[in-house]
Amino acid sequence: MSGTFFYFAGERFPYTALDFANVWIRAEFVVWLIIPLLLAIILGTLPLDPAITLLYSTMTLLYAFWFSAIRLTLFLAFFHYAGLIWLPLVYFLGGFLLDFLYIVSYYSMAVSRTTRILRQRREMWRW
Amino acid sequence: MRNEERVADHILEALLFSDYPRDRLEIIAIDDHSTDRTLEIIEYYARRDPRVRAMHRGNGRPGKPAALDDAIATATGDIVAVFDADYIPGRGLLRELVAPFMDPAVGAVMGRVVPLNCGVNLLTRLLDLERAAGYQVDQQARHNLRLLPQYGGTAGAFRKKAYYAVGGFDPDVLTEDTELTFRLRLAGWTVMYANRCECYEEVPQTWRVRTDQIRRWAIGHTQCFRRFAWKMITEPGLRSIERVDAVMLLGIYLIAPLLALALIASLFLFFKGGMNVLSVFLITFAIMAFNSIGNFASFFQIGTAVLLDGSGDRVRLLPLNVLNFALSIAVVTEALITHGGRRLFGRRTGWQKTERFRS
Repeated sequence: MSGTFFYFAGERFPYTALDFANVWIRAEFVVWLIIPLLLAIILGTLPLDPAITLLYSTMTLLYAFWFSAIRLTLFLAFFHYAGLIWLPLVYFLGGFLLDFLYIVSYYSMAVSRTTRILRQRREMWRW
Repeated sequence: MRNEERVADHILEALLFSDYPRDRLEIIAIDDHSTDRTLEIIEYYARRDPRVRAMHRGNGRPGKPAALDDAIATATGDIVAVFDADYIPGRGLLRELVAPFMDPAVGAVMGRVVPLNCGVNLLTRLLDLERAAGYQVDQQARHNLRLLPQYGGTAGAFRKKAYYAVGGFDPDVLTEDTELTFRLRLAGWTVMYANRCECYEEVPQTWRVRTDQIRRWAIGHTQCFRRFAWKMITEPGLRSIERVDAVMLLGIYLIAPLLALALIASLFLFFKGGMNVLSVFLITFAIMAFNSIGNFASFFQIGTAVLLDGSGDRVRLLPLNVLNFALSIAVVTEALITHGGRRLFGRRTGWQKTERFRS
């Protein structure tokens, strides 16, 4: 499919893999800046020990660094073998959407853990 | 009830088991154009217990608002509690639900809806999370902040005097409950939420039924937006926060087409050579953030609701709620465009019955 497209309309495709990598790094940098702020808001409301809050925030941020690098490497390899025609799909589905999903995942783990802790503290449930 | 033979006896048994004083309870079971055994079941209960009265509607306009209008006209009590056929109220629910009406300013009270089939599949589990957030957090917060909790049309009650004072249900609106909520508020009545009034319901078990449900809510809610958004802004006597919240509540389904538009704009810019469309994506991300941690905070609300319920394991499904989110964006956008088109040609969008799964 990629070969057919680039044979007939290759000159109309406005990007290279290098453009993608540039934009990817800049966009992910914004996500890395947003993560601490976002987690401060959503985890700040949970009755968690500040150390655990910090642990979840750090874990999310480290995961963000790792996952951004892994995705970029995989996507560039994918473009190399499958062609640049998939670039729009990867850009829209593999970027912010996946960032959003792992942030929600870490949040859900934090909530699940908090609930387990609170279940053991009976005084929390007394009126 | 229309073609509710699968669930009709469950709701009637539950209501008859209620601890509400026998001499003050009148159960009007409505058969609305059924073609199955629903009427037969209702008549059996009407013969068995004098508290049950069967009402058969074979003529006239079908649909819940019209059926309720007919039934309420024959009701003898001061307070009307409404239950859809798939609901199962607990034994003490009616007592709890009518207690707030001791305050003469209260026009309607809404109870909490809890799914009874949440373990069936992924969809029902996700809907369980959504319902927990919608009631335990969204409705409760509105009640605590003296904003406007919604009378949800089932597992709730209203004062008959207030109902007639605002002109009853409008059968042209697909979400007659939201419509009634806003008319009551504009007429000066208080709408309350009672979290302890738990009532069990059957949530959709297939994505098709869920889609139909979202479609109806989106159209109905947007009908209410057109009717009440400006009125809520200009109505004297409301607090500023109440006005803002009301407009955001009424406009919630308009977020979906806005998000769809942002994605289309991003795609367009992408192919025009503007992949560095970070600003456009940031707007999209901002709208997503609004939905995540803002007023309608779906994910954040779910987390908080699960925490308050004390049942944390189910929250691990939270990331999968993005499926519900994506489905809602697509369905709501399609529904609003289709409804707009129908209105343009003077056609009406009709009421659709929700399919039941109980056996």
